[in-house]
Amino acid sequence: MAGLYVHVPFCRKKCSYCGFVSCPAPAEVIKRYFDALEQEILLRAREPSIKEMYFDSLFIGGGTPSFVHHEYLCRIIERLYSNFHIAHGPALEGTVECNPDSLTLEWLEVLKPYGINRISIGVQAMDDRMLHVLGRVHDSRQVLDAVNSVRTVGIENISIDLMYSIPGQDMGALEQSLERALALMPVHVSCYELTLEDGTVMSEAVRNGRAVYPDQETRLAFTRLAESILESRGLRQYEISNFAVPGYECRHNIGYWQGREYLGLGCSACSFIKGRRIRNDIRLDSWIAALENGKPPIQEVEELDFEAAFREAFVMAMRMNRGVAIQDFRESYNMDPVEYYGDLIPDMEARGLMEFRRNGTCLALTERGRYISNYVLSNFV
Amino acid sequence: MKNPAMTADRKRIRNFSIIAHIDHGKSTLADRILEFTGSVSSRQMKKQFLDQMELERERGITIKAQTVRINYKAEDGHNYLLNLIDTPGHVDFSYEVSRSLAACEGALLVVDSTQGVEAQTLANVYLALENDLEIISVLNKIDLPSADPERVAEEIENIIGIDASDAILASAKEGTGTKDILEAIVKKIPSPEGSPSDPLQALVFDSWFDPYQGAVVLIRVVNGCLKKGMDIMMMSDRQRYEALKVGAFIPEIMEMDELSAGEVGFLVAGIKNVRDIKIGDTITSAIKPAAKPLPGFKPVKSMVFCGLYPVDPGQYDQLKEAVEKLWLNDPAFSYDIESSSALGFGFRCGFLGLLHMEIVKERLEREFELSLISTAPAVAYKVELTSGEELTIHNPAQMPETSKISKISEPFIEMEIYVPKQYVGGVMGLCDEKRGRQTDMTYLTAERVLLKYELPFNEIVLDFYDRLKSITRGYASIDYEFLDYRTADLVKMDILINRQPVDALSVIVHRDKAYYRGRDLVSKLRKIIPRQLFEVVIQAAIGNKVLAKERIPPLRKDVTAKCYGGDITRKRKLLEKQKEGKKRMKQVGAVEIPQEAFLSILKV
Repeated sequence: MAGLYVHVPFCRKKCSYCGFVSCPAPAEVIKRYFDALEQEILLRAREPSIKEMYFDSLFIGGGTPSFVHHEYLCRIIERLYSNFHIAHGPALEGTVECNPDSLTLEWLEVLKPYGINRISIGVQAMDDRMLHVLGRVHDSRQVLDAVNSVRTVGIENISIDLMYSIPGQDMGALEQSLERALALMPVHVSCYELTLEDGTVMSEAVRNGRAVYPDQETRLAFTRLAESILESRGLRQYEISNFAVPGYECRHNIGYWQGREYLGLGCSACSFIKGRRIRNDIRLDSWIAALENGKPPIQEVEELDFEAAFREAFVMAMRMNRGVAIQDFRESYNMDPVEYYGDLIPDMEARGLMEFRRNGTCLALTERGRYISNYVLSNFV
Repeated sequence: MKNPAMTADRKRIRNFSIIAHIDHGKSTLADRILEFTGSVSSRQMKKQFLDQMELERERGITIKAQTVRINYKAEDGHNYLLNLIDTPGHVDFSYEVSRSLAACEGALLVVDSTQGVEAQTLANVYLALENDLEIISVLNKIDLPSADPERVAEEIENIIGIDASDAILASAKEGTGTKDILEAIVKKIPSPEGSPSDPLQALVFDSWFDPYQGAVVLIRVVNGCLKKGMDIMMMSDRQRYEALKVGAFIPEIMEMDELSAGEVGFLVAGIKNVRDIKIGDTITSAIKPAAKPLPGFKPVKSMVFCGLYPVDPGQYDQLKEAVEKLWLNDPAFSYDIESSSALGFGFRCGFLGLLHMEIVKERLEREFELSLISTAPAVAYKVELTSGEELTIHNPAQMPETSKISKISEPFIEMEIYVPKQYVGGVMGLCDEKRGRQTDMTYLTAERVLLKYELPFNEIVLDFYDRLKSITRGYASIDYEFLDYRTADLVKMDILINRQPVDALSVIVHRDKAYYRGRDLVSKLRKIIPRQLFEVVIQAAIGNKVLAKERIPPLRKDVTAKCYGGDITRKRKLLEKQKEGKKRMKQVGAVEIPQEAFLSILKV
């Protein structure tokens, strides 16, 4: 089973922290984009290795998919169904990312029959002051409306994105924001730190001293607070930045960490097929131009050698709270990670950053290891 | 004499150099001369033809002297043989300049007509005047709107004291004035003296190592004739060789049968080791030797020292090989094996100055594919022990215990600084801060001032150039020469990381400045050393006395980022970058220290 990702690189306005491929665009560009996307579907559907793939998750991400007219999305989903093997009904996890300002009841009603049964809402904070700092176009009242709309059409699988370590945020503000967000009763939360991406308005502001990014001690305190509140509401952490009511973990995202294959369509989308990591062109115009000329819009293909692939798989799997099942690795790679990494694992164990669990059959990050996962995992990559 | 390989009529030979400050257009002018005389077709022409090393082209400076033999048909209808002997323009390489000048009868003094006379130009002109060279003034860059040739000509007359009334106006960039320059060379520069029938006396003025031919020796034949196949002898050590190849560069290599009195060219004699050749030596015939050698040159001496270590200790053998090869090729470079508890095995290397140091490091890294850590540059100190013994210390870590030292002396230089008058205050402030003593101050023109200072050399190798440049917005130029050793109140300052001294970070400082430098260094290190899993304490200390202290709290939290659209590659590459960074760190005790820490000392 594999995952299918479609990227929609359009937004009403670029957020101050956003370093990803997404921007406001004229209607004409949006139309050309979806025409090109159709071409990409037809092009990729001919590839033998893709013909063999069976998809049980569909993720339409962005950007802001809810910002574009439902007609575009419906047409694309139809094309996906007619060209790829995609599971139906409850066997499919069908997610669309939405922003509270653009999500309407009508839009949801149209999309739902196309297999969309999970909505991920970019809430970021239930705190209008923080939303303003982040350059978001919505306020917290619109979040309530958006969640109500999703429930009204009968979709219960609601995920929300929440962010912390925002300049100007303090512990009280974060706690209040989290409480208000959890009052919406999401079954899944992606809770992560603000990352300063080069070239964004936010990173410039921090560089110029107009905004203050919290120091490590404060960020650690924020992380601990967020984790404890989420856990206390039954949202169990299953990955470094993901929490879910048991049974509602995101199949699509877990696929990324566990080395499942996926096909990504759209500008800047990434695929992982038969051991090859493929990245589509990240420039909107050249991505469209390639497809208009009947060419694959691929910018980069990376094929890792066996060992590098093994290390990558180990590092990504370690992001999961349950860690790495050593036996699984032995079976998939015919190589034992404990033997392969030699002194490294005992060393990490001695420093209290990794631990064996379940009678030594599983290896996972400790709490401290999780907080400094980049430091720990960079040794294993 | 259409064929350049033919031996020239001595009366029609002109040997000349070009003297210019960096960026005043020396290499561009050389290019124009090569083009104008048809020595290089425009198809072959690369910019800055004579700067052959990749590094020379990139930095726009000349490091090694080059020679080119040029044919020129003058307006008088005769063919002349011009030997252009290119010279480096930086203070670090002035020893090469003086050697090149010894091979010439004349020099082009190229001055940027938008700038004026700079210190280095002046120093080289004085060298040329000492060698009795005829000087032709060229005012370059007259195509630029800011050119002021009259003012600059006046400067040449006032500052240097030579007649600039017939200075040639030129634009090397556009080729203006090239012909006038060539005519002036022919008319004003005297032909070489010397007799082809006397016993051979050829002056060695440069050499380099060629992997296929061994040492290539640049020579000026003063008397006699050097023929291919001749048995020759070095007059300093009476070593004999056979002249396997004789020739010149036109500018590509051209073999000839002989080089006669007055000519400049090269010699290959199966000499394996460039170190066997003494620059300034006289080559003579082994069969019929000359009675006495030509006057030679002062030997060059390393002035600045630093440790060079491989980032990867596994590269030590490669570094050793590279250092040995470079040593063969660069008589101004010296080295000794040294070891550091922080950096492992490496070399203490000696250089002429900071630019020379930078260039050697870059050549080692580039030409030998090494990745190196260099420690802070230091000068050589003389230490007198209470036992009466005297030591020369090249590395602060070797400094004996304070109780055993009776006195330490440090090298002083005399520096000349040329600066527009509005920056005089700033420069004087800088020199005071650097423990300088002013010995002279002269208004050269209404606008430009010459400052003379005696300065401890150790203060110069720190950040003097950078500071001077920013204080004067790049409008100052300097020249210096070594003066003497003077006793000073110097102390060794150690840097301790988690209470363990890091030998590669030790510095020798004046006691009055120890506190400030210690504080600066420690705070800089705090910013450079990344957080570790435990607290790190950095201290600066003299003996047991701690002058400054900072702590780096332990690593608590990485950034938890979201993974967008399955971009695992990006995530992995970020981790790989972090891993690479870690690999380039040096372990001191349990603390991982990035390389920049060792360089940071340079900037404090």
